[in-house]
Amino acid sequence: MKPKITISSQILKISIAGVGIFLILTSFTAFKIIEQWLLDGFDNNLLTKARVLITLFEKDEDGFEFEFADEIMPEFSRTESPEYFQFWHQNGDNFEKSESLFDSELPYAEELVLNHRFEDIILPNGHRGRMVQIGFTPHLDDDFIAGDNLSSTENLVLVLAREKISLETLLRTIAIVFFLTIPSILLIIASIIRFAVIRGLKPLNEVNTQLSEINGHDLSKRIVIQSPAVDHEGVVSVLNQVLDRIQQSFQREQRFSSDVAHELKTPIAELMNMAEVAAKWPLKVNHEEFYIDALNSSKKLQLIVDSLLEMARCKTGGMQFAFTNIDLQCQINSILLKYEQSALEKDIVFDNNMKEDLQINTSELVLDMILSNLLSNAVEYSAVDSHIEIDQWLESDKVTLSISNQVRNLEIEDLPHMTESLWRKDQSRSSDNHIGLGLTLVQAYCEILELEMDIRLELKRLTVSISGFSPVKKHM
Amino acid sequence: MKILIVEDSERLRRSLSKGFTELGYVVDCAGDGKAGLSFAQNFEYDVIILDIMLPILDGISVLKELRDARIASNIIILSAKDQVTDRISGLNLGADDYVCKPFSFDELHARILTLIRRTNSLKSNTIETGNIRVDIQLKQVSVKDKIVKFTHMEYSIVEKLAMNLNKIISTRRLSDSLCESSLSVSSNSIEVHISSVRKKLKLAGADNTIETKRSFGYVIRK
Repeated sequence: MKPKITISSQILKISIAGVGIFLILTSFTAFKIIEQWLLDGFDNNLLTKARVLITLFEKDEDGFEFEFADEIMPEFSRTESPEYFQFWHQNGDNFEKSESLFDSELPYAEELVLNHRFEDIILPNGHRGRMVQIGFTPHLDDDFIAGDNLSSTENLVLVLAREKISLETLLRTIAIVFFLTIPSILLIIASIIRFAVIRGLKPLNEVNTQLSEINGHDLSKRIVIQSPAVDHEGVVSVLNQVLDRIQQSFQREQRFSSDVAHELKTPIAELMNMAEVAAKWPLKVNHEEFYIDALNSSKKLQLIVDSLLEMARCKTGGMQFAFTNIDLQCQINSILLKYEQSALEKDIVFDNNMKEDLQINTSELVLDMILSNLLSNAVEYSAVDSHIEIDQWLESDKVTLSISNQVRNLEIEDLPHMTESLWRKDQSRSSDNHIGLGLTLVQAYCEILELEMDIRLELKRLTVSISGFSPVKKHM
Repeated sequence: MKILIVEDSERLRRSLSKGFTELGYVVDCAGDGKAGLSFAQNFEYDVIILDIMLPILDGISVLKELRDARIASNIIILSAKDQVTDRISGLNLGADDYVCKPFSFDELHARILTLIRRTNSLKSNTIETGNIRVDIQLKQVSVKDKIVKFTHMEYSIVEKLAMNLNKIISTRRLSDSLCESSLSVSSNSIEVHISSVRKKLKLAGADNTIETKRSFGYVIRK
């Protein structure tokens, strides 16, 4: 299934949701704190004013005296947004009320609270307001105190109320500011996060774009990022290494397919054309020549198929072999007989420097294949009138065998390719006797027997050494 | 018509040579790129069949050299390399066709005929001049729809001149196109063959014949 979410949109969504929740909670808390602070200020203001009114109260021998003047506090008599107060006797009888109340009365609480209490109420003018109720003992006149009238002191109740429209408006304004600020902040934060994410992911997107441009037709492209971040550098380097490996194996695979195609198609083309021509002009074809050619083409096909199957068997571990004690010199001598005639035709001399009576413990079958391939290669690719040297030596209790021959046009750069399947120095691949699988097979055989193969080119002499053979110790 | 086969597989070279010779073509063969290039540079071929993977000098280099030297022979690349990129690069370098191995002999022959038709601006495998008709596929000449029996050499002369109507073909060019490059046909021998052709055409009632241009060569007028 094709993913629909991008990294940037995911980061953006999560960040915005997180920041949004945080902002809403913070704003709500901040609003509540501000609301409480404003309410406390409003209440304090109300209480202070109530206490001012109380100070205007006095008791003397004539009774209670309230020294209030509308001119000083006009808010209690005005019609617009007036404030209200009302005094009650302890028994609940009204004592005094502000002019703004007209015939109305403020709510009176039955129980006397010497302290104060606040309450939201609906004011006589129908507006929402807040009141403070406070019980108090009026100030006693000095003469009255001198008369020892303290016992007759009576408590009074004052209720002071005022509209809280301005407070509510202020709170509403603050709420609106918060309400509008949150999305604005979120928008700004989203833009910043988006910018940061896009900028941060830019190298990754570059990698993505460049990777999408790489395909099987062109694996030569590499990922190059302009000013990469430290964490991208490693990824890019690893990706480029992977691409190197993919390209190498792709090229190897391509070359192998192309070589197999060539090796197989040419003999098939030969057989097809010979057969077509022979069928068209049966009386004009030299039959003997035709049969020999058909046989040779078939032999070439057989060589290719056998070699490829042998290689497949080696790689899949399908080979069965048993270890025996083998006289190395005898084994080499018997193989040399197979190539004696070919060597003679090219005036090639074998310098066999093998020691007598050296026995090794290995698979005779696999050893035969290794030696046959190496000697066959040596004879095929040796220069005319040259020597093929066969040596052996003991090193770290293991026997090493080497075959070296003079080569004509091999270069140092060719050595890494020599064990690649179907590699041939001769690009035209003309030879019928070799198809470029000899050393590949030798390497595969060495891996089976846990031997090591080493190829060197020095002074136009190619030396292939096989080391790791176990010598058989002679018992006295 | 003369064909050069440049192919390193001796067996394939031999069977192709045999087949085309039986079809009436004059065939030269080369087993490596260098020899092939030398043949192509020194003799005139109607078609060159060129393998890519050749010893000494590869087919692509041969192709480049031939095109650089402005040799206009039709070139068919014959290769086991069947990748699109190989075919494109071969055709871009100036090859006229690309045939992948393995291939059918008849298909290769059909492609050769196609190239020859294209080169000579022919709509079919026949060339007509007056009441003479030359079938380059069947290697037959007919006059008034009756086949005139020619020897191989006589047919080759008529075909060469018919494919170059109104063009004077020198004795040397004619000689080159009549046999393998290792051999040669003398001018006297050519004269004898041409005389025989003229007689056979006249006997068949042809309204056209081979003209001799003294010191220049021979021509068939349209």
